[in-house]
Amino acid sequence: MKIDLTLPGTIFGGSTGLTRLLATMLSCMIGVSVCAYFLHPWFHGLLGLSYELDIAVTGMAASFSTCALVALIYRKHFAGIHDYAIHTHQRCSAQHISIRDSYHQAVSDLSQYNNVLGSQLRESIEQTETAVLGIVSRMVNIHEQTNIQVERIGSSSEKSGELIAVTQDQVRRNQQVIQALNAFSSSQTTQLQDNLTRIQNLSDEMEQMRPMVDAISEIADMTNLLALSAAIEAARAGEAGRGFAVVADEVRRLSSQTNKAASEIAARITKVAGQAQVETENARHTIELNEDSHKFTSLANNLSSIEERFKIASIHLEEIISGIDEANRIIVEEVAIVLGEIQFQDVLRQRLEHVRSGLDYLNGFAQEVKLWLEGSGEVPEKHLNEHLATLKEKYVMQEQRTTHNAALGIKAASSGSASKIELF
Amino acid sequence: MAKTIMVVDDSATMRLSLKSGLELAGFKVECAGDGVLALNQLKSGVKPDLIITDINMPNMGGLEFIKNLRTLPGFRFTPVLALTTESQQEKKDEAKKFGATGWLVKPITGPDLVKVIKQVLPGA
Repeated sequence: MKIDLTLPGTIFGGSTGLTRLLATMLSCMIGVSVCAYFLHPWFHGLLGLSYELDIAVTGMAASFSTCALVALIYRKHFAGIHDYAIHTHQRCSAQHISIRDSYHQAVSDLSQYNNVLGSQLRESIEQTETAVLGIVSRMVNIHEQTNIQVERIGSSSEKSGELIAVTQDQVRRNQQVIQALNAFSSSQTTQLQDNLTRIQNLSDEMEQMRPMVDAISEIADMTNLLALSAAIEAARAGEAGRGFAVVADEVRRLSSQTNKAASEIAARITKVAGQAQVETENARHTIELNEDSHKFTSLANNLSSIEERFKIASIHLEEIISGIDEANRIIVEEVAIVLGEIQFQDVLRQRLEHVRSGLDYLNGFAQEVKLWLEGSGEVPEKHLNEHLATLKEKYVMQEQRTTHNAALGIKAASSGSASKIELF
Repeated sequence: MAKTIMVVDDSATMRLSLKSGLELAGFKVECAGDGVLALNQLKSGVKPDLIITDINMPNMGGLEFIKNLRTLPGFRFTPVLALTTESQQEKKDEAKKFGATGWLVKPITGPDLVKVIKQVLPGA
């Protein structure tokens, strides 16, 4: 607090007034001294004091008189000093009150200022928590989907293993059937070859019969001619039947040959017929070996069973693949959403930068107050309260303004929920 | 052929988020940290089919970038989406005046962004 030391000079009329005051005081002192000089014998005679005491009393009386005289002459001016003292006291009190009020205001503003910044921080923390929880929840979901995928693949692997084991067992069993079938097939082939050989032989035999048949035919022709000749001869001669006898002999000879040929043919036919009978017996025997055909049925049944199992396995695998595709789609979608949700960090960064800006101003303000209280600075131009308005102007997000108003207890008009996406 | 998208944002997190999400959706992505860098890339031959830009950036903000973009040959009609935390109507009106195609508020999920892109980018 500054005390105005020039005020007394002003009260007494500046430096001239002070000179006059001093002159007046000197004059009074001289006057009193003169009076004391002349009145001293009367005092000495009246009071009868010792020399030293007499001087002391005289001096005291002179001083008192001088002061009284000066006070009397300058009574109005002293009243001014009194007023000045009162005024100074009032000023000091006013300044004290002002400082107290400013300090009180600053503390009060500080509380409110901190409230606003604190609310912004709290909202930022809540936003962070919400975003992180969201991200964690999605990551948990992705993890679950991945586990399901692993289970599906494991199940598929297990089913495939079972199928392979069953198939291997079936294949092992079928090996025996296949071996039997191979043996059967081989025997069938051999028998067929034998049959073919035999049939070929039969055919050859039949071929050999053909010249005989031709011979018989020739003989038959010649017999006809002879018979005709015999008829002609018989008609020509009565007794000349001798020629007929020759003819008859020739006919007999021819007939004998014919009989011989016919016998041979008959023998051949009999032989062929017998062989055919044998072939028939062999074929029947082959057909009777039907116990091997059961193996075909068994093999067919086993293959059907394998086919059925493969169908079931295929359906199961299709379901698994479909499930895996769906889970993959979900995982990709969740990952895409999570990648979007990490944008909260940028939003948070902007909010915290505004809070930091507020704290920087607060720091500066505290420095100003400190200098002012120390007496080496001026009163801060702006109250903290006024800077809150500046802070609010710098906000970019509606959420920041809402938090600001809520912290100050301001009921702002609802701005409505603006659309997050707008195409022009 | 995959469409190319340019992302302009001073936040590394935003560039990472958008690049990853858009590449997952099948787009090719180029990035720039502010309007000046983006303009340099465009002048040097990068030809995106769509641009996504922030508004509040150092050196050159999104509004000024859009304004300058429209003066470049070949980019008068390139779709530009503003993706920002900004909520002031005046900024939105200014973006529209300078030629922005749309206004999106952060944060935006990948599926939502892709849906918007498919609306403004034919053949995406």
